[in-house]
Amino acid sequence: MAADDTARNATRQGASQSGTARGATRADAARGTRSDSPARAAKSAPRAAKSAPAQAPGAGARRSDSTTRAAKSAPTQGGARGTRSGSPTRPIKSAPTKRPARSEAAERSVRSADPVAATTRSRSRDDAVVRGTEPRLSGSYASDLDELDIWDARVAGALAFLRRRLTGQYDVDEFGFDPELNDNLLQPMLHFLYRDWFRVEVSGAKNVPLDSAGLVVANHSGTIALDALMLTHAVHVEPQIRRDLRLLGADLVFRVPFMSEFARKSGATLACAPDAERLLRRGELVGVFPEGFKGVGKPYRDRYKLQRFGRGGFVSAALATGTPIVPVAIVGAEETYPLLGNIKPLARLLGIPYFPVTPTFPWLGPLGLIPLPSKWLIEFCPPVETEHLRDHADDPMVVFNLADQVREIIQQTLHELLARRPDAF
Amino acid sequence: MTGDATTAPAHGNAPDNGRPPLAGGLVAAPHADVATAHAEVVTGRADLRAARVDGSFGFGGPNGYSGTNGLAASAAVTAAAIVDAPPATVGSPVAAASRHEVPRVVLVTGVARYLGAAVAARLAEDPRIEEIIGIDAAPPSADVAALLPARVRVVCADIRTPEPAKLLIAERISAVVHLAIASAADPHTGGRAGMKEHNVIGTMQLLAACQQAPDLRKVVVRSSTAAYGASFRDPAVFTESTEPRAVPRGGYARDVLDIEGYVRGFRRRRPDVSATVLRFAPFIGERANTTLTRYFSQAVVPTVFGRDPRLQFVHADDALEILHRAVIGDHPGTFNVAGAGTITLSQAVRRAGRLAFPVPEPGMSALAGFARGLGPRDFSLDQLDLFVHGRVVDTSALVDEFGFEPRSTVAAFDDFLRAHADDGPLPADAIRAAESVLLSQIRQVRAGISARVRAGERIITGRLPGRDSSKGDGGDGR
Repeated sequence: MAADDTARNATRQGASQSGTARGATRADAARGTRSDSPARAAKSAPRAAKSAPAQAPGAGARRSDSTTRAAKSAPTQGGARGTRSGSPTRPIKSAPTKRPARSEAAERSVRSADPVAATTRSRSRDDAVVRGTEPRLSGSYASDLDELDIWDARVAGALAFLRRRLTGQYDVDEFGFDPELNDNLLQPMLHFLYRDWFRVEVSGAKNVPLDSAGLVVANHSGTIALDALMLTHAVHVEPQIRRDLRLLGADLVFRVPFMSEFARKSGATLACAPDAERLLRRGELVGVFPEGFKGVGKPYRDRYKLQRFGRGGFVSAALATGTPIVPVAIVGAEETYPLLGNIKPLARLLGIPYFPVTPTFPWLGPLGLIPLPSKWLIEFCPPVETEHLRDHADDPMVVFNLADQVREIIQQTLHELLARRPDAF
Repeated sequence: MTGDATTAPAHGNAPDNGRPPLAGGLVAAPHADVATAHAEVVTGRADLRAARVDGSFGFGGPNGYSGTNGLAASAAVTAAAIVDAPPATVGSPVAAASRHEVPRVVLVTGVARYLGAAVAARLAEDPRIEEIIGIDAAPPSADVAALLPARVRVVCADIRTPEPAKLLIAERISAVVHLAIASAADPHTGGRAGMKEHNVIGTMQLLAACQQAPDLRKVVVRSSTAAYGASFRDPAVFTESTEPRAVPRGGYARDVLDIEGYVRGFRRRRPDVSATVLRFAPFIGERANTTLTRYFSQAVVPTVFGRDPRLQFVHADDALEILHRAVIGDHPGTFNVAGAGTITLSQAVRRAGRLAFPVPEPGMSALAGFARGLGPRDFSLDQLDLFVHGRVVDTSALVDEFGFEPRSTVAAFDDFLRAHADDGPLPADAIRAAESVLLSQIRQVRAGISARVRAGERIITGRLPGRDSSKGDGGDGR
């Protein structure tokens, strides 16, 4: 544990040192053209460039590195894609298909110098290379030898990963979060949905704190809480964020076998004040959906209408720890499983909040579980500071006002995003 | 005790009969529940059945069933049957006594068990303590007696009798360490009913006696993290101030809650006495022999289907250190004692090189009942809850107050494995060997392919290597 702490401190220091570099990157990002590219274009993005260049969070130096690389690669891209590659929010998509092996090596040396690459992270990084979440160096016929060596490293890394999993040599934090499994298995599994199926576009990533605690508050919708998964993945892979989002889940999630373990291993914990405050005090980025089941289980006709925000427990947690609240609007989840009806007796029988009837479920059986491929937009709004209200964590007036303010921001942003999205698919 | 003190050793270690001690274990615990926090073995229906069998057939002969009815022979026996006591290594690191001075005479309950004996021995190494008196209903078995140095005076008396009260006044005892809390129902001492009697009534009587003792300055009581229960509604990490959402299902956890309630009452009535309650996580270590260590020593370990609980342990040596500091220093309050961090059950099973055998949750209780008496003991309800939902406690209060950090859960578990690593079906070395074999074979095959490709390249130029690389691309999983 002690080693862990020093590593974390080192991370903090490193991050604050690279703060200026990051600031510059952010300024660039602000100046950059907004990515309003045609939705389908994302699908045609080169597969080799699908994966993120690096996954460690908070690395200002590397961020700027990846942005510049993206900028350099712009001229090599085709016309249609060229316009998009100017967008700094998605430099990944425009990463070059062909990259000499040397740049990979250089990037790795940057990584090793990076204070963020703490013990487990740096170890899992090699696995990421192996498992294909890291950039591929395919397509270079010329360096067949290099190719072989890279594949050798990948195979060796995959076997090492398997061995570590089989012998239990990995770290799990006190909430049950398993960063190695999350980085190498759970998050890559979501990438297809994120990139190709929903074609998620993220804006306002600069509003997410990079190296300190933050409370991400989002709207909840879509019958099955896919928006939670997509938000986590966005925070995980977006080049300007690259953090682990620690979600707060309803107790139902932790009652169900398998689901509870998936949730814990991917970083979620029970939505209760002690856990939320503990995570925030540790400097984590915490995600919460205050609407809860009222949001996920609302009928399709009420889409994008925010439901009541519970008791505002999330605000109390933020106030108690002086953490900024980042409101997030997610558009697209409503259309994945349009909820047409709710068979209440069946829901009561199964002990679940609602039993959904969608255009495909239960009519098509298991096929009905495939989400409709709606177009998703996620916007992170400017943070609402709470530091000055720290003493009012148990003042219901302050809590309700702040909850209302956050709710208004999300609702307004939802309308803006809907106007920006030409149609749902 | 129904029998007199001299015949008692014959059935002193009865519950452990038929179960061989662990390989490498230096000390075989005489009772199943010696150093466990969660080793309550039979409760509920199985428990009642056990009690009934006991009542009707009289397990263990005329003397074997030491009944719960009071009037025990309070024979005070100095531990004469001590087989060479360990040399007293004096001068262990101890925090400076702050407000209260180091207690002169210390009473340790439950010295016939491993934990009690180990604590008594540990305190005997401290030259600042003048006298250590150990008390237990049964005299210690040979194994445990070997732990006890000659300095420790063993008094054979039940804590439910007036004997402790007399001792407290006559010997002018200044500190009481209450460790005689059984975590497992023992069919030989009345099953669950006997366990509750022993734990709850025993503690009540002892604290009542303590209340009358004029020279008493300190009370240290063993508790357990089982007091928090385990459910899906609980926060991930329990702090000392977390109230359990519901009364836990298990008997041991309920006993522990009752005991803590009595300590609270005692604190109110004797504010001059510093009362420390230590909530221990399950003990583990190279010498610990508990239900959990036996569980991890099986080749195939039953787990709950679809669950991977977070577990937490404390190293037995660290627990001793904390108990020692609690006696020497002044640390009033309730503290979680556990190794920082957590290890998930699957991770622990893999580290131990065992095979997990997932059983659906409803089947787990049935299997537990079926497996009762076959080798390892089954689980009680609170243990089942632990194996479904897991439990992690916060130890920052302990570290702040005691100035000592127990080694982490993972380190404690690894220490346990070092003593028991010999007989797993999936040893880490074998996996490592398989990995290197597999890797070298893959390298050979690929070297062969690339040699052939290069040969082909010389004949047909161009396309073949390209096709090869695209094939490699597709073969890689996402």
